[in-house]
Amino acid sequence: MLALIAREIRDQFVYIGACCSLSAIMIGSAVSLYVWSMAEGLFLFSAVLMSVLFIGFCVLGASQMYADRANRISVLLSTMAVTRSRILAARVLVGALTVLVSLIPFVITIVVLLQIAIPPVKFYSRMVWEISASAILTGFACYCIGLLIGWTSNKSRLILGTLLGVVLMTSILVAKGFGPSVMLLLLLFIAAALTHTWHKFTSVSL
Amino acid sequence: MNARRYDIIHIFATGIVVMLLVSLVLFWARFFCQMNQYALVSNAAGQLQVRPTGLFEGEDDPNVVPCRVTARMNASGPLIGPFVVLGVAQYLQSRVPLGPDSHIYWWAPNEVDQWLYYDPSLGLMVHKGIAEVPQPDGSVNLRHFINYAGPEGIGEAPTKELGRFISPITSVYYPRRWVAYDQGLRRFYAIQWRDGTVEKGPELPEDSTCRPVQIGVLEKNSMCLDVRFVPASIREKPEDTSDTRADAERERPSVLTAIGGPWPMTDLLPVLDASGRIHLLDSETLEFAGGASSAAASLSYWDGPPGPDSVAAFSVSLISVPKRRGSREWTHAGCAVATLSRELTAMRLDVFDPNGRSVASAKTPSYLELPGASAWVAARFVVESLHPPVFMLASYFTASSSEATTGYRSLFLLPNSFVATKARDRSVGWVGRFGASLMLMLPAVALGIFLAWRVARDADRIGLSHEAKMLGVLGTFALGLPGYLTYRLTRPKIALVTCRNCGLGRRPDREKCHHCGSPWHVPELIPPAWRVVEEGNWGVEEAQPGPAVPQAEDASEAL
Repeated sequence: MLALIAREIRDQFVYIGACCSLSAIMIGSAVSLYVWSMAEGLFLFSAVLMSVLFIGFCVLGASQMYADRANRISVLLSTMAVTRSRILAARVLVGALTVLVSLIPFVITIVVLLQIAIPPVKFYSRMVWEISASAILTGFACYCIGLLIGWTSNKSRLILGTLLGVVLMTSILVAKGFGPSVMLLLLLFIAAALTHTWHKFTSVSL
Repeated sequence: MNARRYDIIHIFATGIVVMLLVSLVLFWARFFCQMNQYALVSNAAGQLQVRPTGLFEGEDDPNVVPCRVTARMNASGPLIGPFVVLGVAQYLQSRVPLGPDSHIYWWAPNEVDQWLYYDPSLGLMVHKGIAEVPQPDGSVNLRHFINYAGPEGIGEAPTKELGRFISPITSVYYPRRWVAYDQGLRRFYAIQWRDGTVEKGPELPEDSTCRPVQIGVLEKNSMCLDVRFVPASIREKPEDTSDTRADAERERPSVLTAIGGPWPMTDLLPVLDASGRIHLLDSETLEFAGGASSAAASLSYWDGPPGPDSVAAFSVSLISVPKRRGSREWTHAGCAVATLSRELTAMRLDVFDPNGRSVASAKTPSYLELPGASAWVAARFVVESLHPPVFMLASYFTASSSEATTGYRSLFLLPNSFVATKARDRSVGWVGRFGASLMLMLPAVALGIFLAWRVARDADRIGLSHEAKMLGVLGTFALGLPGYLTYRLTRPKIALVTCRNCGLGRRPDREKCHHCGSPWHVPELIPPAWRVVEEGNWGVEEAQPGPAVPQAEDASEAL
């Protein structure tokens, strides 16, 4: 399994690196805005960069599936002692790791900055937790959208689907806010999207 | 895992994904229609004015520009209304410190780091900060303090003797006399931090119709509705009354010093109860002025049970006048209440005198009278008809229990749909309501039937089992468009071949044709009798004779 994960990271290094770089830019920007006393712009700036990051997650998912079909990676791996479920599991784990590695340091940075700027975080700790959890789940849902869209071989559909999928998934936060209900909805969507992908990945002819 | 369970999981997973994505698309399409409806109303009739108010004598004096009360829909900017009721805005309002629904009532981080909040885990109000302690030598020492207030008193530690609040609501913080109401204990409390005392009001009787839900500044989604009171003034040129702006420029400083605003200027604190009535609480005695049965004003509503949950926004302005000319003591002179309907398409402004009687009112014209309104109503109806019929039916049954702005955040149920609006219409009996709602659901049901028919036809064509076909038909009928898309995405991908018996497409993986039941003639793949061979191999081919000609024809036909 570790070998599969390592291989997946090597294959998708560009997209994973781009997501992590974007996350680093977000952290740097957040710290800079705080140092320059422009904290009021932090929320808007974070929201814009977060949207770009979500597109990155979706592209990563789409790339995993698209590259698999284009380069026949599963066909090659299936000749070895590994099942298709394990190949997919390694892929999804890499996606989940990318989402976590990109978003958790940013969340920690924001919490630290809030702790410095508005000390009693305990008064709004629930809000910080809910927004962070919702953002991470939305990021992973965008990745799952990428997994669903990546099956198409039409490039224009792929690009349009990626943009539309990310806009739709992100809009769920605008429509419903950040509370437990949206988290439940996102979890349901993630579970359904992964199940659908697993079914398709394990039943499609090589 | 067997194939059947494998397929069922796949269908459910696909259904959830499709349902969520389609619901999101329909949500934003509905929102777009609602936003345009709001824009239409706010541009054409977004401001109401009551002038004169009827509250004061002498308002009809030609030398006086009378008092007026105005209400504006897009107070904080154009199109802000629909966005204020979206989930993200509502969430931030409910969580951000000092927000309308926050438990943090006072916060001064840059001055003396004072905090005033309700701690649900303790059931106590907490006041903490830094106090200045004067010393005998004239200097001042800073001391951190923390005080806890419960129904029974104030102390420096959260002891049991202080009692516990169960579900308190409070007014905006007044340093002198801060009033709170506990919905569990059914009493008002006046907390005086400086004196270290908590005063209890009388317990409201169990059978009382008054169930307070807001104290002090009474408003809901105030960013999309603003109400203002403008006092009377002396008119410089009484003959010119044509232009309001010119009037305002010519107006001298107010002579009738009535003032209005959300904050009470008197000891009477407005209290809103769950039925939409506004009472005045004497903050000294903690009893209602005139008793709990007398209301100083009430919220207007369009449908559903009366109360703040039935309107999208409201704002109350209290009007006060000095007790005597030049006095700094004020007395209650009335109040103005503006409300906005669930659909954000109707606004009403009412002015109440000190006895709670409505003395003047204004309302926006019927939405459908506005030019272009019918097109947006029709567009919204079409979008709603694409929604799953089963959710529309559920919206009918949950219509009365939903808060007015829930419809702007709901993906599946539609509390503001035409069907739900009809369900809240109490002017007709339940049979009439249900019948009218069914008529409104007719396009959605018709679409469901049409899509179910297509599924049935396709299922017959590809030879699905009766069980699978019925599941697809019922699922599509109940879930409409998402159900149909789910079927299309999960149906077996089979290339049909022509049946030799009936001529229709049949499945090659079945022994019998699913249309006529004729057996499958598996062609024998027998090589033909003739061969094209190279010149040097004649001898070899002659040694291997082929089969008879008629069988070869049969095989080529089958292929």
